[in-house]
Amino acid sequence: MTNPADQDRPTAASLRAGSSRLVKAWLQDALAAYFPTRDAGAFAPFEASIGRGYFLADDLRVIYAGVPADNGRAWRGAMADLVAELPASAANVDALDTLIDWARFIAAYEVLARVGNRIRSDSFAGLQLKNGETLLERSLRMAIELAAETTDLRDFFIEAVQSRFFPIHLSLQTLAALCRSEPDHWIAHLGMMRPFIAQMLRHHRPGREGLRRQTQELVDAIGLRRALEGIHKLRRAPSRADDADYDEWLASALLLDEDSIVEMVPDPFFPRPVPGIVFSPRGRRDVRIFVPRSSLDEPASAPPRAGRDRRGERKVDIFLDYKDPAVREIAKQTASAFGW
Amino acid sequence: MPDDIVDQITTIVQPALLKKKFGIESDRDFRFCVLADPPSEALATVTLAGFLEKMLDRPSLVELSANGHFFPYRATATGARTAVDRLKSLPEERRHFRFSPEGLGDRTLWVTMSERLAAALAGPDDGIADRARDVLGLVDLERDDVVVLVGVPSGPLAERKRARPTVLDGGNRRFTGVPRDPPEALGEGWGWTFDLRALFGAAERQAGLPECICEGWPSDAFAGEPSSFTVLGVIELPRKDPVGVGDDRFAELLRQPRSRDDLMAELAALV
Repeated sequence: MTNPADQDRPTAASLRAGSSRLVKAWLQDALAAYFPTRDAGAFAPFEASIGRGYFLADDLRVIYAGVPADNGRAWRGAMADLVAELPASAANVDALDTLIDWARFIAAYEVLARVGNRIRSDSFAGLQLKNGETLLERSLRMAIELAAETTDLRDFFIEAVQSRFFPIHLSLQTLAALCRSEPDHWIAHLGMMRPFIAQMLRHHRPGREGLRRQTQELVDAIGLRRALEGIHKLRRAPSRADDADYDEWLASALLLDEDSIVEMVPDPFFPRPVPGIVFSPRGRRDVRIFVPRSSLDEPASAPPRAGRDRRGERKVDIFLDYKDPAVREIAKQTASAFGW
Repeated sequence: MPDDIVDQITTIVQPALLKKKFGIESDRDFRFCVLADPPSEALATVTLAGFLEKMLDRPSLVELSANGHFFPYRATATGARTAVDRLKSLPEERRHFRFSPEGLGDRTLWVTMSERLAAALAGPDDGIADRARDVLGLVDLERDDVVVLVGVPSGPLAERKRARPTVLDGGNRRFTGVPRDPPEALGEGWGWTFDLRALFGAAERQAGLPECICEGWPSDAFAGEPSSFTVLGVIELPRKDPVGVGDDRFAELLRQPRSRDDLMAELAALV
């Protein structure tokens, strides 16, 4: 004889094909029952999938892999609704953490959007996870990873930066992700992030290689052309100033270090047309061309990027016409900013 | 109970049905039956790189983050593969860490012998993540998953029960406890993984690597324990063959020359 309780329980098939409402009700009950006891039975009829991975999010992604592609949206919607509605309390921190982790595995932007609506709340952002992160930091890491695939995360990052729980060690990663969302405004974003970057440089002291790596991330996010067009707007340090308050880290990694991302070489062929960004601050004999140099981090097998061909040889593929008055103005300002 | 029979039966019958039909209570009757001796060799586990964010102690995570590293959950996002390449090229001294209070989670821990895994992965760097997945039989890993090898400190293991795993411990659809052709006798409590390449005719034997489980952890068991990680890379080659076809082939490899009915009869006689 069938147990009446079993009759009310959705089957695996009905859940996989179920509405967002059905999935949400099931998931909410399952999470509530699971965390106090860690009983896999809470996730019936999928209990056999629980406990395989080291964390619950791993099990849930395996369950999600069995959901038909055309119903994935209903599941992601259920996850997003739960993230939006679960009270921000210590009792729910494991459930919220699991939902965010799971969403990151399956790139559920629906969840990220709802998280973004909550991070301005201190009670949500400041919830402490067992490994010492806050819920804001965990959410921010998800957003940074997924930022490359969407352009509508600007508000998320700005909310995150304004939170008193913003983790300053993620300042440069946040800057790159924010600029990826809005590459045309990268100088404004740099300005907004400057105080946080200064704190990060002072407190965490990233190494030269780490700064170079993150400068490369930034250049990848905005494109070399925007980077070079904007460098005259960098805030350079006056002598004997505390460099951390300025953009010296960026100027160095981009242009000034021996292994800078962009290499400056004189062009013996000027004024013949050359591919590249040409600045001529001191007249025809002192032309500077910016040639992207291959990243030290980049493996030989990496796909070609701007400035690098398949054989890893330098190749300039950006062209700005020096006859253009706007380009000449940029060249002039850059020369002034860098003391050429 | 000879667990190889149950292992093979469960290629046909799911654990839930095993419990319902034959009354096998997985925890009481079957799990942790063949206990292991205290570990005398270095141990490791392979898991998803994203979970390192949970495992690493705060100073290690912050230091890596401040230097521009992150642990991608999947290799599909733009920049994720570059991040993986950077993590792979981290010098050894930057890959040491201490576990956070979250440690390795609170689940059953699956470990293998570090030296044997290293030997199995020796060779060209290309495809190393796929090779690890194959020799450890981790069929649930999907294309674009980023996997990492994590050293398992022996201290917390000494306090917990360790045993040869069975499919009821949460084994996947390609689980074996001990294959029919184990390459050598191991100490008590060790099983062998199923090398997934055997299903595709690319491995000479079914047995992959030694494998052992350790029961779940009390809170904070790993906190502060020293370890190191090695990001292996991205799963490129799918092994999730179509359900049905692959299952039949796997069951056939395990049960030969017995038939499915033979196995069912053997199990029925045991319980």
